[in-house]
Amino acid sequence: MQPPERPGFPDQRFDPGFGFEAVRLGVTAADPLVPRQTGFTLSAAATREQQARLTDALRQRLGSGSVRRLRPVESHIPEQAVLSDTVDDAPSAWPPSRDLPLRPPLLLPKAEPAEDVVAVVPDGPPQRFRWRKSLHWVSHTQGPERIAAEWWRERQPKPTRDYYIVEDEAGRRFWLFREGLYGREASHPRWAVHGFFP
Amino acid sequence: MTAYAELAVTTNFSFLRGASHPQEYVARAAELGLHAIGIADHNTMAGVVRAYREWKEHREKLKLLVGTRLVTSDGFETIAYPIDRAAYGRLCKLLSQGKLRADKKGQCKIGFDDILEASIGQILISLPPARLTQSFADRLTRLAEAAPGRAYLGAIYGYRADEPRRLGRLAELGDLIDVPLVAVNDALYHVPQRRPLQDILTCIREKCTIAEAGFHLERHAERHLKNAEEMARLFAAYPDAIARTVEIAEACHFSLEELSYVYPEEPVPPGRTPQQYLEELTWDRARWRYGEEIPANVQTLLRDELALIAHKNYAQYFLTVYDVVRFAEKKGILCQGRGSAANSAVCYCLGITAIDPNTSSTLSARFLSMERDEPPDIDVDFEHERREEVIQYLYERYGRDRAAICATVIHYRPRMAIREVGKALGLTPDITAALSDTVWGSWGDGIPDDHIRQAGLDPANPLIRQAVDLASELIGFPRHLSQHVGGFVLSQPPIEETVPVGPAAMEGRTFIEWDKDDIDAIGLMKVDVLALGMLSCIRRCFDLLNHHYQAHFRTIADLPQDRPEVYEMLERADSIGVFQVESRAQMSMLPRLKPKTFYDLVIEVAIVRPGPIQGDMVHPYLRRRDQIEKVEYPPRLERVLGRTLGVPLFQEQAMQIAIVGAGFSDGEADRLRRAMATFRHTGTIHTFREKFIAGMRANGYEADFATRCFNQIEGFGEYGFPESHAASFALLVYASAWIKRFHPDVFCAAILNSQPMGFYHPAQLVRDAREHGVEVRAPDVNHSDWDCTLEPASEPSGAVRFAVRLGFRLINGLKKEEIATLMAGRQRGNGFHSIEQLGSIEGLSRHTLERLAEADAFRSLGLDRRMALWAVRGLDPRQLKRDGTEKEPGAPLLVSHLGDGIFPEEPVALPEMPLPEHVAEDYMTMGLSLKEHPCTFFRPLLRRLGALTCEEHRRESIPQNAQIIVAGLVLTRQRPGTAKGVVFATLEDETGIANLIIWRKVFEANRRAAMSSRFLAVRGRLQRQGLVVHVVAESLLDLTPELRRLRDGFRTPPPTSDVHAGWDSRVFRSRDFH
Repeated sequence: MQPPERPGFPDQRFDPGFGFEAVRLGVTAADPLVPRQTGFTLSAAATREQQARLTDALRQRLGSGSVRRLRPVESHIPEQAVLSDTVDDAPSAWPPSRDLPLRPPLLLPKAEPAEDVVAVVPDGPPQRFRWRKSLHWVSHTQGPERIAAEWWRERQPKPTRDYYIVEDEAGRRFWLFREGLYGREASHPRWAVHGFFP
Repeated sequence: MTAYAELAVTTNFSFLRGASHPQEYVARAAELGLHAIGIADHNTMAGVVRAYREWKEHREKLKLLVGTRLVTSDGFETIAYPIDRAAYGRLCKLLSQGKLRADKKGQCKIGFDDILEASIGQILISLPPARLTQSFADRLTRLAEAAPGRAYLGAIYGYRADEPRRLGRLAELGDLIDVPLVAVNDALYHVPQRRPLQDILTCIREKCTIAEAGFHLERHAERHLKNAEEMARLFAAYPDAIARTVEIAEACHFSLEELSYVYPEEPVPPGRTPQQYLEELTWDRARWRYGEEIPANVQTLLRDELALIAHKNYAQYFLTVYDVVRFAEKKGILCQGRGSAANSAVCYCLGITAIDPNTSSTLSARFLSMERDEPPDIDVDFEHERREEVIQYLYERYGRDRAAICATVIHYRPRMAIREVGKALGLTPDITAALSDTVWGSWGDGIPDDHIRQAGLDPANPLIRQAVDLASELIGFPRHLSQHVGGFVLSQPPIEETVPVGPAAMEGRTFIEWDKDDIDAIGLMKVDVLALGMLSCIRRCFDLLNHHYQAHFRTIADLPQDRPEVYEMLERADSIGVFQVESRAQMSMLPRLKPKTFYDLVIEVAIVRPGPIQGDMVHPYLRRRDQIEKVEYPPRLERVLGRTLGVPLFQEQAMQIAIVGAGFSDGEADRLRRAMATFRHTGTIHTFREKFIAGMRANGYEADFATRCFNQIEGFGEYGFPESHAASFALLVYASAWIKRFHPDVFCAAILNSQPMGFYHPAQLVRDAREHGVEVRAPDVNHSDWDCTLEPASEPSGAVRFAVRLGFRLINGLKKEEIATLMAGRQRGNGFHSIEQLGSIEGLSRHTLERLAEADAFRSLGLDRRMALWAVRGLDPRQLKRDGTEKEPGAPLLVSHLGDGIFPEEPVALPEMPLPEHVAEDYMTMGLSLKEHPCTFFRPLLRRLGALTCEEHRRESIPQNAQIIVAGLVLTRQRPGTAKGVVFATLEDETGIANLIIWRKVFEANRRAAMSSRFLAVRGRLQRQGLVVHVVAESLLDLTPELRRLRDGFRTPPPTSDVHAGWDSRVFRSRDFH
């Protein structure tokens, strides 16, 4: 992390006057901290060998298809962007995460409907929603991220989704989408919860 | 109410990127009520004129900006809009330099520094990359310095999750560098429904299927034109960015209308104005044409025309065309102008055309279009073999920077469209092939369901449906620019300051980004330098006539005019080889129309076209001509319709009715013409129909008449033939017919030497000549030239004093250079007496001798083809001097012993080759036979089938509708688009030809035979109308396998194998027109 700079005042001495009472930092550009998987031991070769032995042991115990790895797929549709495949020796090539759009680490296998949603038409974020019987009031949001359906996959392509990252009053973060654009696609779009952010 | 201008638009002229036509964008922008729209394609100005044309319809409500998106080799993108004409010129120059520098054709290579250099007078909207980098910021800074107050940063609302933050960062950067933000939507299509097509374009560009395309595809469908309200909502935090779009639009006052044309100065000698010089020349040359006594009516015409030219300031145009024609005249290159301005008295005097206004006074509409403000447009046809000399002259005279070729836009055709779309969707090649072959020829509006079923596919299958729908959208999209065949743009200032130019195929030549329609819309000068095979043929005729008949023909105007014998010959449809009127359709029309005057030929040329046929003008015209129907039309339309008995036949007449009768403006008439020409009739046809009928009724015409008129015009579509062109063509019809009538020997030789050309194979041309009493002699090593030549006839009769000696050019597999060697050797040795003599000529390969032997060209040595081939094969390889291209014989040791007497060869008595086999071999080597027609040998078989000969079937004794059988070789097949699936075919036997009509049902029932047989027997009903005889086919019998008997002999059992095998198809080829 770099010490904060004040652009335009490179050389001037800064006079704090009576001192600071509060300092507010605005982060305009942030790079994600990329996590790195450390090995069980310090040497990379030994790690690989141990990993291979672990994989074999698990496979023998649980079946050959039991050990899987996630591979990236170039698709804008979130649930299709990750494919679960049986493990082989080739490492999966994930593009650097700063090039990927922000995605929740946990994605529901099927998006669950959210009811009683109140949002400003046409594409305002939800202000409240009901999911699994409890009502959540939204305090912070980000979005919409607009993702249109892959029209070539079926006869009637699905409607466009607008995704929102929302944080409720308890600090829980959800990934919601509204399916259907007002006016152009649907007069009564549906809402759903698709995933969770930490 | 906020106002917004969309300044970032990518049309389909950014090939394989944009998914909408320029005109679609402009129309949609007007619909949305935008303040302005800017067209800026990737490193090109190719699409701007189309946008401009559409914009003229909406000019009251919408402003149009014309610019380009400059993309550097390292990916920096900035949209440039020129503020004024000078800045526009700078942009064009920049693009031209980039095109010249590019490694590949069609690319443009520019660097950031080039942009800086050209930045004066440009508004530059730079588009940020996905992640802001320091280098981008630096470049932006430099742009801001180079173009103070004119550099902007484009902000796009991308519907990403963190959009506000991104825009914030962008705004920050803008503030830092002092480059203000301007809102753009970076449109790729005009409505969101086009997104699938845009994805397909991406797949075609990236050469992948849609399943593989991954992140190349856009995430959403938002890149369409949005209205001001929506854009303001998206940029609610930055209202200034929206306001700036309007500021920029207002700041740019350059319009394409400012591209006023400056003609080149060369053709005008110093000290005189163009008009003065033109008038001098005209009167001078008028005296050359008419002698000292210029007829009074011609004088009037000339005065009127010259006054009009002065008024419109077109003198320089005529002088420039005259300059080219004069060059051709001096070099003895035959040429002829055509076009509405070409048929003027001025042009006749200048020698641009040969249509004498004194005799062809009916061309009164000559100048009508010039009165209406259209720039003059003259196409000049030159002999096709010498056109290149003319083109070189243009480049030398005007310089390579002031002469350039027009472009032609290569569009997606139906077959290519479905293939590319199918590939992108991941359909297997056999499915896309089946879809692209469904309709023979070309598509109409998409593919009807039952055609899809016929191809073996299910139209309900969503993938198939998608493929067809997307392909239908893709049809008509530009694929790339190519150079036009003959359209030249000439200019005084360098052309690259008016429109970007790029390198053409030939070294040192360039072509511009605009096509002929664009050039007309802008008003640049264009001369079409075209090639016409018939002109080469006519010049050959003149050379032969001058040489052998002591004539003095130099130009077409030198031929005797108005000879009744010529018209009599045409009335009989004796027109094989005659320009334009030799096709089957024309030969049916000639006896009905019975041309007697020059103007009748003009009508003949124009009437046998899809336009008049579809518009149902042909029958009414013929009825009126035969006086079965009364000639009537509103007297006010006399000037328009008088000369064609009240029936519109020419393209100009259709438009003139709209203007004179229905009160259309020129622009509206032009739009009407274009609306009918599009692939798909858009809904606008109905508005035209209403306007037309209402306009005519307002002018006092009957509703009935008005409706009929419009129906006729609609039927015309784009296929009507212009009268002015028809007139120039009619001249050539007369000229070629005159030569054929009075000198069939000359005609035969010249037309054979001008092949490939025209409707028929040499076989038919030769047969026709022989029927007219011309003796035709086979090619021979001792007599023939490369070209066909004339030799004194053994029995000269009347005017025909020469026989035609077929030239070596008719024999397959010969090289012109080797034949030249052969002829040189023949001259040295005073003729050939033996094969060995030929064998000893250096440079004459064994291959050539074998081909000559196979073609039976050794008869003057007393050897038929079998004996000649034997002799050639027996030539000592050592004697046979090799020309370096021959391979060494396999066994050199043995070879050196041959011919030294140890292994003498006894002369062998070869079995005689039967005549049928000779004929078959003749066809194989030359495509024709002088000995006998192949059908002669099959006559017993055909008689057994009950067939009449082609000559017999024409006899009057056969009643109308009789059921008969005819048979022969298939000469041509045609399926005109206007005739609703009917196929016309022509058969030929040893006595003549027969014309078949195969209706759709019969065709489908006998598809293979109809489409690909070479030798056909047909049972059907006879239809006679005067001299015109047709057989309406009911059932077809494919006799192609029988052809093999020519070689295998007639005693062998009939062949059982497949119709289309082997040499039968190759040898007896037909001409198929789809």
